[in-house]
Order: sequence, then structure tokens, then C-alpha cells
Amino acid sequence: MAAVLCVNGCTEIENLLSFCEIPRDRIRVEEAEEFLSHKGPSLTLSSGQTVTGVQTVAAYLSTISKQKLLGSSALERAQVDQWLEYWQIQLESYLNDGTLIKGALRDLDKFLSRMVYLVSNQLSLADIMLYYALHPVMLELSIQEKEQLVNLSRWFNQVQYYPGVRQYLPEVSFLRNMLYS
Amino acid sequence: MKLYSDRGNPHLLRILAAKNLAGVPLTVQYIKYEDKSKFHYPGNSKLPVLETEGGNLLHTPNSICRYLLELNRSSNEVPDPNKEAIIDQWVEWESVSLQPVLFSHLVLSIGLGRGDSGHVEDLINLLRHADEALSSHKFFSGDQLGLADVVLWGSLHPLFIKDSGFSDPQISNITSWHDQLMSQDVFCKSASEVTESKGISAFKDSLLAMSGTQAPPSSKPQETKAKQSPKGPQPSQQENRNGALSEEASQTKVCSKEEMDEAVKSWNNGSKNRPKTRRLVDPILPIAGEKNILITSALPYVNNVPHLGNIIGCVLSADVFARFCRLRQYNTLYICGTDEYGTATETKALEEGLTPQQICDKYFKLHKEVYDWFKIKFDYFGRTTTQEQTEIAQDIFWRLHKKDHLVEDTLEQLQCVECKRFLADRFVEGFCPFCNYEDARGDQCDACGKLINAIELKKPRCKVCGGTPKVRSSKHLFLNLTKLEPSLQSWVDKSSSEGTWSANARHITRAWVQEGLRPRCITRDLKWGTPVPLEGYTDKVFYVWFDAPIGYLSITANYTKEWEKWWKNPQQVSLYQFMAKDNVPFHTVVFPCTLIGADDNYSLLNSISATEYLNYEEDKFSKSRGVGVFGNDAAETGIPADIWRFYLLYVRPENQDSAFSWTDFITRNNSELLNNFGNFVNRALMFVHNNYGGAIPAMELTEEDKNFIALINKELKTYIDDLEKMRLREGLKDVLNMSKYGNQYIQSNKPWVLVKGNESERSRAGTVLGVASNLSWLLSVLIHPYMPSVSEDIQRQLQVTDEGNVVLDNFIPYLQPGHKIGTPKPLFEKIDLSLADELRAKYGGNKQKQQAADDQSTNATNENTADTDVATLQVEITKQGEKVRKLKTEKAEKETVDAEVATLLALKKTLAVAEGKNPNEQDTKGKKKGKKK
Repeated sequence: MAAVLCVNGCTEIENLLSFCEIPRDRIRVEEAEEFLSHKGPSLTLSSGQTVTGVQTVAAYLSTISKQKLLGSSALERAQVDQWLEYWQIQLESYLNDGTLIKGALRDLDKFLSRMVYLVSNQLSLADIMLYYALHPVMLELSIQEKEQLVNLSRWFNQVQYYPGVRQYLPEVSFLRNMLYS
Repeated sequence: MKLYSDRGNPHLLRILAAKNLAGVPLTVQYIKYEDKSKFHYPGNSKLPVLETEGGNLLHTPNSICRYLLELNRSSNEVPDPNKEAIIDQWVEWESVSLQPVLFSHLVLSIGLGRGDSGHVEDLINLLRHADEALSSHKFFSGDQLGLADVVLWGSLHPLFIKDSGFSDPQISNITSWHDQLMSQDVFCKSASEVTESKGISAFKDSLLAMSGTQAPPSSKPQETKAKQSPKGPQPSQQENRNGALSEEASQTKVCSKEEMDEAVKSWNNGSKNRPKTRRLVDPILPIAGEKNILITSALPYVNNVPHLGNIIGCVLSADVFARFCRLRQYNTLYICGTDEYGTATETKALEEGLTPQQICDKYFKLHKEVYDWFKIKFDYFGRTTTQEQTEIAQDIFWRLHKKDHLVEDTLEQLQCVECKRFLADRFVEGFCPFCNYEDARGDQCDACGKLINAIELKKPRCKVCGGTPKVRSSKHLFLNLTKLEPSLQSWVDKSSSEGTWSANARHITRAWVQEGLRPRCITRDLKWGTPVPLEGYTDKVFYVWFDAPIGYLSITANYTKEWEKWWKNPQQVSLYQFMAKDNVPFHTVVFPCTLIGADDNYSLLNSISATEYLNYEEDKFSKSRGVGVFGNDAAETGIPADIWRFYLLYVRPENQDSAFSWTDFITRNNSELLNNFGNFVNRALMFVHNNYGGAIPAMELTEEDKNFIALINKELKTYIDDLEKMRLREGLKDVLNMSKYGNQYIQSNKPWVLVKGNESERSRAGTVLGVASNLSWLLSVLIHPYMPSVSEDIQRQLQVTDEGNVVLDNFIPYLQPGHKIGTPKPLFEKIDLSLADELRAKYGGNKQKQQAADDQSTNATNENTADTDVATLQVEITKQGEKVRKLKTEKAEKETVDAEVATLLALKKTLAVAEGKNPNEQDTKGKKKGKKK
């Protein structure tokens, strides 16, 4: 029996759903009568129970999707989880503060200097969700700033070109020639 | 595998339980909390940290637990997504919803020894929510023990330890669940390993250390991410997708030791050498070595009656910022005025049978009155129709001409020989060049729908007099933006990186420049405007968009002869400009190009704040349809100006469009102002008045008070940063946060109980009230940019003058013990919600209610897509207006004139009724002059 998903305005979940290419018999999308943006997405399982929480719903979609998004080991699964926590608890609240978000970008840039993707060498749910979260910020950056965050830019560009990820979001452009160094 | 942690860290509980349950070999190495910085990963670093065999780091307690339990899972086991989802939900709930509240509670109750942490109620609600889940399943993870239980046990166990000060009978399921787990060796052992038999105090040091590096500052409402509901905004719901989180996060603020020390230090020393309010004297001029702030608001177009959207977009926003700058003691000048030249005024003049100058005089007064009512404190509010405008505009023109930034070109336009005027599209009719329809309009044929250029019409007719217009070539001058593009680009890069530019301003500017800048026409064949001094063009005037921004300079010139000290002084002056987003390109591209080209060391824009659109209920403001609140309507409602100011700023469309809603307006008055802000101030002062003879009591600060003061300081710093960066809406929320903390502070200390107790309890109450009264004073200063009358009111009740009106960097006790306050009165009145329905109906636009006979004239700047009826009527009105004017100049018989005037007014009434959809009247500068951006 299919699980029922209620998106409730959560664009990340909407995009993730398209990306995951889940067979119709496993998930059905319904919308609540009243749109309450603060409630977040919810999922009614085949057992009848309903769960809420954007990380939970995202992980569920990843589990039943054809794509392997939650890592291939216990460690990788835990790392994906860790990134999702970082996204919800820290990154979300930085997004309106210029100084904090710049600091976060620098941290990420440093981290990505030795990592292909956020978790090991394959695209995971962590990359996808952080891509959506950082998209508005990256769109704003000047060429110079993107150049200073060269690793973050490299990662972002990789993720945005991964088939099925970007969907309707505008493309963030990156220059390969260094203009400022 | 090694786990690094400090002793007594509460997160250890769950990790050790996971380790024991999974039977995984793990050594714990105890280190000092400060040593956590040797572990590097994005985000706030904290302990415990797990280092795996491969050298990977896991640093959140829940991910560590997940990892340890996964290691134990056999590789044959395929996880059931449904079961996993249940577990995930609780783990997520724990970290996002429970932990923030629980953590603060533990820090305050165990760390600071506070009996009532103020979070107990919220905590109980969260626990009851969890308790319900256990009524249908034995464990949180389902029928069997799992990750969710380990995580929640680790989280909640401290509450069950003796002396934790927490008990609630209504979470019986959780209590038995907890008992059940504690009967298992795994959990019991893990607990004793962490507490080391010290009971609840084992956690104290770790909690205090951790709270110094708490997760990020109170989350602000995330407007950019929330999807806008199509039914108009519901601000409270749009607040944050993690609405719960931001609410809780702001309640969990606990300050670090350093913050508290700093707060106390400035509290004790701050009153000495405190700066007094600075009173600037006219003429305000830049002072070397100081911050000289020049503020402009987009000049409202004179013959549009301003509506709420115009007001919040421009003058009110700039006013808040200007008042703030003055409170920060910056040398500030706020300039604005009416933009009076252009086609629209000429047309309106014809309609009303007056001269353009008379129209301008009449409407200038109207604008001034409206802004005065809203308490907009301009340093000078002028007009563009002055001698100085002509001089300065012509001077700039000549400079551009000499430096070769102007090009000539010819435009073909239709000119009516009779009327001696170049005709705008709506004044021409003729045979359609495509389908031969005889009544095609100057811009589009109604029959075949094709777009046309007026000069293409066959047998064109002037709609006003019926004569045949001729195609005339008219020479015009163009500002060569293409040539100036490189200079502009480097200026844009510099300015936008050094100053504060709102995001939409950046986007719009980037889009314009990317499209490629083309020469822009700066002249027009009109009479009403600044004359072009170049030979061959002397019968023309400057295009209003070229000459209007020069109005900023000329209005300043009318204020002081030394205007150049502001406008030709980029080194010493910071120019801040406020406007709605449709004005952006003119301020970031066209006008800077003009000044750069003129090359006379002009002060260019440093910072810009551009608002999106304010909609009205679920519609747009429309004067002609009577939709929305215009001009003096606000005053007529009887709701005070400060309340209007408050609400407009509360819904200021900063990152996306917002809407004015009567229901929301009244609700916010009743909730934010009455119940939050007003309630706090009134309570504090009433208490002092009734119990301390109206004298501020002595204050002996406890740890809790110090924490509170530090909390206010934190919020104060945020306020200052928000306002410095023109985030006016955020700044207002910061003030409301402070009064909310104030309410919590009073609530949790219960002075009404203390005051009936013994000596020490009475003096405790005195301290609390003293601090609360001082916070009231602070709030009176911080609210001043938003609600100046309310600020005065509070200060009157406190019996202080405005000489303390300075926004200092720290919260200091301005009111010293013994200071006598006056009689407290409520600051706000409750407004009945039913009034919302009444007012919505009144301003909702009802065709029967049109009273075009009043001075409410119709907006005739609809050049692009006028519908035929409307266009015909407009032409009739223009004709009639001509007639009236002629009769007046000929000094015809009074009866004749009166009859014609009556006809004119009747026509206008009909037009108002017939006018259908009008494009958004938000723009104050009449931008749509048939030009595409």
C-alpha cells in the first residue's frame, strides 16, 4: 500500500520527490485542506501512522527511491544524518544573517577542499538538501566571492549539474578562469 | 574508536547507552571542554566527538548513537522504511524541538540553580506530546527498543534524577517507560558512569560550559524561504517553517560568562560620562572626522495622492532610519520633496482647468499634510520646480555635453498642428495599417489587436481637436550610457560591496547591466519641465527621469547654499537612498551615469534599501477604483499615526511583496502592542507606582538578573546591527523580543508574591522592578524611530526628558534608585476586531461610492493599455478642460463658466466609474512613460 505524502509547501521535499523517481505504487501525494507553512511536510505510512519532520520525510523518500542516497555504510548513514541536523539546526537560522552565513560558507569551503561530495565520493541526500538550502545564497554571490570559495563552488556546480537535481531552479553560474588571483 | 568528552556531559548518557546496547568497543577519553577546538568541522564545535577507526569525526550526539547502533545491525537485515520513519521522526523531534527547550531548562535549573527556569510549561507540553505516542506502543521506536528510545532516554533522564526539580503526573507513560529502561543494566550502568554518583550536580560544569557556545542567535523569521500563501499573507504562519524552533530558540537564550561579565561592567559604569542627545541645528552640514549621513527618499510624484504602499516604500522607511541615525548621534540630513515636472502634470492641469504650477501647489500641500500627520521628520521637504533645479540640471547637462557623453538622434512623432503639441499615443486615432479598421488607437488596433506605432496610422486624427497631425522629426539628445558602462560597472562593484544594498537592488542592477546599456533619451517636447539650454533644443525640456533625481541636489540647494558640501563630497558623506524597487535602475544606473559623466566629484549612492510591493488586502491599491487607503484616509479612521507607522513597518515588504490586511492590522495592535510591549511597560510602572511610592527601588543584581541584562544586551546589539543595515522590520522585531523577555522576567520572578513577603523578598522584588523600569526606558529610546509619540509618552510617564535619547551599545540603568516616576497609563488601546470589517468595506472599492466630484481625481497616467471607453472619456475631459481654461482666460460670464465646469466634473465622474483595471499605482515617479526598461 502506498504511503501518502503531504508536502505542505516544503519545496525541498517537492524537488526531492521528483529527483527520487519513486514508483507510483509506493507514494501518493495529497495536499492538506489548509496550507500551514509552519507545519512542514508529513507522511502517512501504510501502517496508518503519520510522521512529520523534514529530515524524516526526506530520509524516507531516499530509502524507497531507486537512487542510493543514504550512503553505503553505517558511518556514511550517520554522516548524512549529521549534515541534515546541521542544515536544520544551524544553517537555517544563519540564512538571514550576512556575517554568519559567510562564516558558514567558509567552513564548508574548507571542508570541501578534501571531499568530493559531503559524504564520501557519491551524491547523497546531504548534498541535495544543502544544495537547495544554499541556492539562494549562492545566487547572490559575486564572481569574486565565488572565486574565493573555490571548493564550495566546485561542489555546488557539480551538484547542480547532477541530472534531476536542479529542476526549475535558476542556474548559478561559475567561471572557470580565475579573475582575481 | 575513541570518544572525546568532558566529564558530566549529559550527551554522554545516550552515547554510552548506545555503545552498551550495541556491544561496540569504545574508549572514552575525558578532556577539558575548551580543548574541543582541536576538532575541526563546519558549524559550532562542541563535545562529545567520536573519532572512528578511519579517522572520521562524528560530532552530534544523535548521529553518534545512530552510527553505534548501526554497527551492530547484521548485514542481512534489511531495514523496514516504515519502522525507520517512526524512529527518524523521534530523533528529529528530539534535536529540533525538544533539545533547545530542554537544554535551556537544564542550564538554568542545574547550571544556575534557578528554581523556575521559565521553560517548564513548554517542556511539559513537549513531554505530553511525546507521552501520547507511548499510549499505543511500548517504545518510541515501535514494539521494540531502538534508536529513538536511546536518544530520548539520554535526553530525558536528567529530569528523572532526584533533585532535578521536575515532576509532572501527566506523563505517566513516559515515567513507566523510563522506569522500564532503568531496570535494564545497559541504561543503569550508563547513567552511573556519567553521574559518578554525584546526582544531578554532575552535569553542572558541562552545562555551563556548553551554554557559552549555544547554537546560533535567536532565529529570525525566514521570509525568503516560506512559500507565500495565495490567500494573502498570514504573517504569523509565514514566520518560519520551523516556527516552533524559532519560538523556542528565542526562549532558550542563556548567556555565556563573558557576556554576563561585560553586561554587568557596562551596567555599573555606563551612567558616568553618558552622552546626551545631540540636537542638530539648521543648516546641517558635514563635519570632518564624523559620520555624515545623507538620506533621501524617492521623490513622490506630485499629482498622485500617496497611499500606504508609497508611504512605507519611501518616506516612512527613510524616516525610521533617519531617526535612528540621529539617536546614534550621527550628523544626519534627511531630504525629500515632490517631483513636479512631466506629462502627467500637464495633462492633469488640462483636466482640472488649472495651470501646471497651480496643480503642483495644490498637491504639494496635500503631500506635506499627509507626511506631517505620519510624523515624518524631514530636515527639509522641497519641490523640483525651483530656480536651483534649473541651474543645477543645466550645469550637469553642460558638463555632460562638454565631455562628449551626449549624442543626437532624431525621433519621429506625430504633432498636431492645431494644438501645437506632440501627441502621446492615446491622443491619436486613425486607420489601422494592417486591417484598415477606422478607429485604431495610437498604440494598438482594437479590431485586429496588432501593436502599432502611432506614425504608422493611415489618416491619423488628433483626438482633442480632430485635426490631422503631421509626422514631425524631432531631434533629441541621448545620454550615452554605453560609453559610461565600464565606469558604471566598477562603481557598482565598489559601492555594492562596501555599502549595504538590498538584494533586489543588486539583482535589478545586475540584470540591467547584463542586458547591455543603450543610449537613453533625456529630452522631451513638452513645456512643463526644466528647459534644455543647448541651441536647437531650447524648445524642449529634460525628460523627467533625467531631471528628477537631480531634484535631490536642488532641494538640498534650497535648504542651504552650501549644498555642495553634501553632494560633491563622497569622501566624507555616506548617501543612503530609500525607494520602491521600480525606482532602482534610475538610482543605480541612470543617475550615477549622469553624475559620473558630469565628473565633478559628486557623492554617489553608498547604500540602498528598495522595497517590494505592498498590496492591499488581496488586491492592489487603486485610486480610481477606490481600493485602498490613501492620503488622509488614515487620519480619518481615528487610529493614531504611531499605530499606522508600527503596522506598516511590521509588514514592510523587504524581501518579498507583502499585504496590508485590516484584520492583521488590528490583531497586531492588540497582540504585539497591547499585550506584549504595552503590557510590559505598564505592568512595571504600575507596580513601582503602587508598591514603591513611585520611586525606582534599589537594585542588587543576582546571577539571574545579570543573565537577563546580558540577554538584553545581545538583543540590543542585534537591533543596532539590523538598523545600521536598514533591516527595519527586523529591528522592530528585536524591540518586541526585548519586551517579551521583559514580560517573562517579571512573570518568572512573581514580584506580586515577593512584595508580600519578608525583607529580603521585598528587596528582591525591588531589584526586579528596578531592572524592568530601566528596560522600559531603554525601550522608549529604541522604539522612537518607529513610534515617536509612544516614545514620548513613556518618557513622560517616567518623568524623564528626551535628553537621554541616545542608542548606546549597552543597556545601562538610566533610572537611578530614588528617581520618581509619574502616573502610569496604558500606552495603547484595544481595537475591536469588528472595526476591521467596517474599514475593509469602506476602503474596499465600491463603484457606487465613487465621488469624483471631490478632489479625488483620477489617475490618468495609464498610457499603455487604456481601454477605449476610458480613453475616449479622457479625451473628452481634456477637451472640456481646454474649453474651461479658455473661458477662464477670456473672462467669460460666470454662468457659462460654471456650466462648463459642471460638465467637466460630470465627465470625470463617469470616467471614474468606467475605469476598469488600472495597473499598479505603486510607482511614485510615473515611470511608465511608454518606455520599456
